[in-house]
Amino acid sequence: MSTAGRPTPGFWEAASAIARGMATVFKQTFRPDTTERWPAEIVPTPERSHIGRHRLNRHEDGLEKCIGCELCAYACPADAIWVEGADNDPENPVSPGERYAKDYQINYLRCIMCGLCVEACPTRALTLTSYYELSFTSREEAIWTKEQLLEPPPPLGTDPVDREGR
Amino acid sequence: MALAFERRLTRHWGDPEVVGLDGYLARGGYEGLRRAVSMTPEEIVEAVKASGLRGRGGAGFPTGMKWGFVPRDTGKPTYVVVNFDESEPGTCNNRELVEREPHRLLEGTAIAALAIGCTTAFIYVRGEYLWQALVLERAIREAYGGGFLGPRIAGSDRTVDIVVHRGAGAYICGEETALLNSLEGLRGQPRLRPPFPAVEGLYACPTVVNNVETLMNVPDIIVRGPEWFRELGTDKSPGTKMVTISGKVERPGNYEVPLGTPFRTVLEELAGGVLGGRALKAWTPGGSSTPLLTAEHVDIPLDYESLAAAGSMLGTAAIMVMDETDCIVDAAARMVRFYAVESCGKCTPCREGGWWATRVLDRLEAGFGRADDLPVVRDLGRNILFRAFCALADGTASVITSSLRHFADEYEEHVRLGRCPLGVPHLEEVAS
Amino acid sequence: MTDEPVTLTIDGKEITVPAQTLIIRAAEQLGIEIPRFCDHPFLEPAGACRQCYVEIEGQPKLATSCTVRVAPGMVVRTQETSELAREAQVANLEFLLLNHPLDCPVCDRGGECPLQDQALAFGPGESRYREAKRVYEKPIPLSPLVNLDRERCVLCARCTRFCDEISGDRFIELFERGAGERVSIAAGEDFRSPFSGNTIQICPVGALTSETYRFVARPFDLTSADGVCPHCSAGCNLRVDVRRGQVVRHLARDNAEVNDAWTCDKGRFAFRYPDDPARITTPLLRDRGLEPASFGEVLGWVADRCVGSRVAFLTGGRLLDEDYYALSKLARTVVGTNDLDHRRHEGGAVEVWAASRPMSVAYADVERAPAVLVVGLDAEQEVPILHLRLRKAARKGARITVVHPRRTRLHDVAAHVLCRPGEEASLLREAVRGAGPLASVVEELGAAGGAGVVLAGERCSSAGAEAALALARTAGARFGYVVRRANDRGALRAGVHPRLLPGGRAVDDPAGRAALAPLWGDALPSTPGRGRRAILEAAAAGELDVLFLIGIDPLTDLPDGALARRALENVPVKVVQSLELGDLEPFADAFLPAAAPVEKAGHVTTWEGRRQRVEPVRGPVGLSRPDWEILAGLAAAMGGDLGFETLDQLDAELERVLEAGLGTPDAGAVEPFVGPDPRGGEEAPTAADPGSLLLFTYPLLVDEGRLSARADELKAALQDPAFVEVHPDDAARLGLAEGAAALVTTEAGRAEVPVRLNEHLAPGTAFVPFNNPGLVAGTLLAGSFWIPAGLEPATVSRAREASA
Repeated sequence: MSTAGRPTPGFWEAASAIARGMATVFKQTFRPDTTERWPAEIVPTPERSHIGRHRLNRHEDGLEKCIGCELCAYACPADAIWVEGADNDPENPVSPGERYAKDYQINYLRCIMCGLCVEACPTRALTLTSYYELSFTSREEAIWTKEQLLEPPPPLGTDPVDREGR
Repeated sequence: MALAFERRLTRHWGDPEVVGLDGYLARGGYEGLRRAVSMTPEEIVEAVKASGLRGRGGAGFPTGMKWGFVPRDTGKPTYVVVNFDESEPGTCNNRELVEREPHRLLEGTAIAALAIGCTTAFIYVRGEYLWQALVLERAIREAYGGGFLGPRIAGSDRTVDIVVHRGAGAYICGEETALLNSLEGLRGQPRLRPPFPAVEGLYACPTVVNNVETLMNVPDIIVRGPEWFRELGTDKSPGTKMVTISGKVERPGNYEVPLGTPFRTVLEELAGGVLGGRALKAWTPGGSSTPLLTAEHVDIPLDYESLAAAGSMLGTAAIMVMDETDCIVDAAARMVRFYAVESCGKCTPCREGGWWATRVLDRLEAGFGRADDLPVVRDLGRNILFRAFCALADGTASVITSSLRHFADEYEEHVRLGRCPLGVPHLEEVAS
Repeated sequence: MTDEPVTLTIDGKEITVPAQTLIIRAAEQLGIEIPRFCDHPFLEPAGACRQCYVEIEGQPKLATSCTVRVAPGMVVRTQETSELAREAQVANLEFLLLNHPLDCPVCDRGGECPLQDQALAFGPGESRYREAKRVYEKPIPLSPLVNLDRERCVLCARCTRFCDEISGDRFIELFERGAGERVSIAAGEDFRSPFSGNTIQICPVGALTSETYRFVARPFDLTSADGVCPHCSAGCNLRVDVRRGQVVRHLARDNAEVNDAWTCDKGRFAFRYPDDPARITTPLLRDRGLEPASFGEVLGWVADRCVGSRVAFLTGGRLLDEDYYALSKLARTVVGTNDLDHRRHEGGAVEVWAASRPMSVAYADVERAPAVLVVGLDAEQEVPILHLRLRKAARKGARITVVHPRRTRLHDVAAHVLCRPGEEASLLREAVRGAGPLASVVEELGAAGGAGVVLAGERCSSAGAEAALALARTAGARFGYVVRRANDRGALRAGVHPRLLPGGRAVDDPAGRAALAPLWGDALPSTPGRGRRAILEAAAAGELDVLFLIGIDPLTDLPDGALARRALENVPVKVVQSLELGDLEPFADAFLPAAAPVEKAGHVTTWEGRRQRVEPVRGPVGLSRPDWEILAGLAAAMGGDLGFETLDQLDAELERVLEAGLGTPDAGAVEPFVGPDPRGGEEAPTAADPGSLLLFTYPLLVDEGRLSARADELKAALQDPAFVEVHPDDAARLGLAEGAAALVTTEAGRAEVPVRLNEHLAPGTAFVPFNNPGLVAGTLLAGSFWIPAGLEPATVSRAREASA
């Protein structure tokens, strides 16, 4: 009598298949662990990674590099950036030249970390940092202001309560 | 001297009496005007047309034809404006013509005024020509006193007044429409054409603008006739031309020659050859705005057609001679600087192109040239030539293109050596 | 030169255009864009930037398409088919960019800059220029409104040509030559032209920028709508730009029929009033000490007090056609009164004429006219775009005559006949009889064969306007009645008038009422109502129960300041419907928040009678609503029904009433129908006392009006503190000196203002601006815009008081 389908496997065949499967399980079980134990253990990111929060940079003399040109906002595909330009006081300038950013905000609920804003920036004022610990409990908290963005990010792993600028 | 002919414009040169009215009259002066007042305007225009007289200011447009373009039925006044804004570098024959025989200009101007039915003519004098303006003004006073200007000139019922207007010192005001703007008290910038001055010129009225030398030929044409005028010169370029020769020659100066006289004759017989017997390197046939020619063009006849065929222009027939010790890049830098400074600023190629060319040429001559400067200079010449609002920029471009055409090696040498191969100190070094 | 159309070929495509067309314009009609900077369709050709090169077959040189006119059979090749033209354009852009600072990121023009766009579209990718760029001090304020950045300038001369050809205010000029050529203004001078903002808009780079828009926004930040300027009856088409809900900019939209490409500085820079902190956007009720209430409550409260009461409506000239129509219908069909008015000046029979005829004179007619007579109008200050059209007409050879008490800014292109205010009528009648200083003008107008134009401003009184109309008829000229406020003409057309129904029908004309009956019912009040002054007098006499004020402040807007105060004090119920309360706060019993012009859709009618559509750029702020909606709500609260619930329904009805033939009165009906106005309508009184002058006033362009709120830069640029202008002869007689304070005394009040001598003022008169800082001229007036006044040096009066 012939039955449709596969022939029923013999016992040894079945046992060997199970053993091979279990071998994989045991091998994986005792392999060294590669998952980072964040936040208990903070692993430094590669030197030149740009995967986290933005930063507004300053010139060496302390003037802001940002000139409030809004090109970052124009480039942003998620409409996450708000810039308002204003006239520099020649006696007491905020940035070199005529124009500076009176207001600068990035909404991290919208930001998709694509980095187009950084590419658009004509003065290298806006760069990405490696600071990826972006967590918030309210909408307001997700919108970073100019003052916050001008600060360097705190070391990774800083308790949210201790984060500078928060 | 091989160049034997009856001098016309310069026949009284060296005779101090002819500056004054009495001296001029004693030598047959104002005879043309006396005859002209008894002719109809059409007869005067016809006589000038028949003579084949061409404008001596540079473009060589037939003068009679220009006068014939002036409409007579507009109900507006017409004007004759004499372009005595002689500013082309290397050109100074108008100055000497006026200094030596001012009444001949007044006579020619008055005849032109009669020809187009004008009662007020203006002589626009180059700003720097203070002395010449004074000479003219004195001559005008004399002519009024003698009845050759003002109401009822030369005993007729015709009125011609002549007003001297001094410019403020701008090369562009030699361009006829810029001259008219300046005369009206506006910025010396060229006007859009059409309308041409013959239709809408000074104060939007029909206007003829003529060069000093052109008008000084007119009295003789009226007195002696067109046929006499055509006895000298070539068929298409009849008459004589004032030639100013300067630079590296033994006897620089103004010479009158029949049109079509070869350059070699002027250089060797009149100007005494190249200074110190050195070799001829380059020369401009008609002021610095006309393309440079070289030693191989030395036998070219000086007339409108021959020079055009050689890729240059008769222009104002101001010949500047450079010898073998002169650096072409230095010369080009200086000439281009002149046109950049004198650009009126109205249009882009002239204003910006001249600025750029000056900077690059200065750098080349100073020894800071780069290999990629030469294509830039070449493009500059091409992008300025015939692209600007008026012909001023073509002067800039002519210098660049012609010097590159004949002396590209010398440019490359500047870049290669990082200095001027002839050791000519550059303008800026001289200044410092 | 023939005017036959010309056929030519551009890039292989044949096109036929009128003779004298420029190649660049012909190419535009084919959809071929030739890059350009100096060319502007409303300016004369210049050929300065050299960007628009094209190749013309048979011509050895490239031609600039902005200067060469078409010729039959011409074969033109643009950059699209000619490599030579394309290369020349690229080279020219390289030239233009040599000295351009490329500071686009900080430039206000960035993102909407012709140079940027064309450099991107046609320019070389990289510059070969290695030398130092030209450096200038920057930015240089040419005025409090306009900043100049010479480094960005491409010297196209559009700005200087505008000032020369269009506005005639030649404040700026090109100085120096060659690469040093620059736009400059005389040392110590301000760019004090009321049209200065246009130079900013036509600048093809960011060389001229606006102080009010400096670093405010980028094009991608903006939401825009097509608006019409709310400031005067010129009807300039505007683009209104909003960033995050705030109006940040007005730009002129091109409309060759109306404003060409221009607008005045008031239209351009006075845009902040909708966002003024003084604005109130909730309904208020006096019941609880003028506290916020709901619309339903306030409308119910007002309705209760209106039913069966004596109600009168006063409004201004800045609502939309729809609002006026709703008001007109509400007053007649629901409240049952003809007591409504919008006017500041009465025009007598001419009002019937203006209400019944659209577009008797359009801008194009002014431009084409060989002769124009302007009466009682200071066009530059009152309807600035009409001023520009008059100048344009003058450029084309029109002979313009202005009859006005004060020389106007048309003085360089027009002849002025100075007359005392109120004297216009007698001058014009004299001219019709072939006598007086205007007799030759009548001849010129007659010789123009129907193309002549007579423009009467609203200030020339009903007698003056009627005389102007009669003169126009005698000379066979077109006649235009020039009202000042943005929609005065719309209010007239809609019948916001005590004697006129929509379309100019008289209320006491049974045929007119019958024509409206299908829409308005047949119970319309048939006796003429009270006008502006009569309403205030009735209110002051306690003969009114409710005074409804819509978009008007009778204390400052009218020449009856004292009367208005008495009126407000003696009417039991005062309802204010506006953007804010201002001076009316102590009086208002109920406040209804209206939407601002930029928040409303509808139509505005220009002085010509042209109805133009406006679109809202944002929704009404807070609880504010369009006026017509509030009025329709009130009708409903009173148990009535205006018959429309949406703007479309309202528009359809209005269209029917205005256009579709309720009929207009025939020409014969235009007879003087308002008796002589005892105060202002007739001849001005001649001063009996030799020490007194005839004081007259009208608002200057930039004053303390509500719609100029927060336009600080504009006021800094163009506004002067109050002054009194006197003829030097009168000043000498009265001991007044330029700059010294004078005491002005009238029957209504007194004020101390500095004197300005003006030899171009009608002798025996004195002028004060209506509402400049330091003087509300209404306090000197008693019902008319002119009044006999005594003037003396303030020092004399002080000395007298001190001794007394």
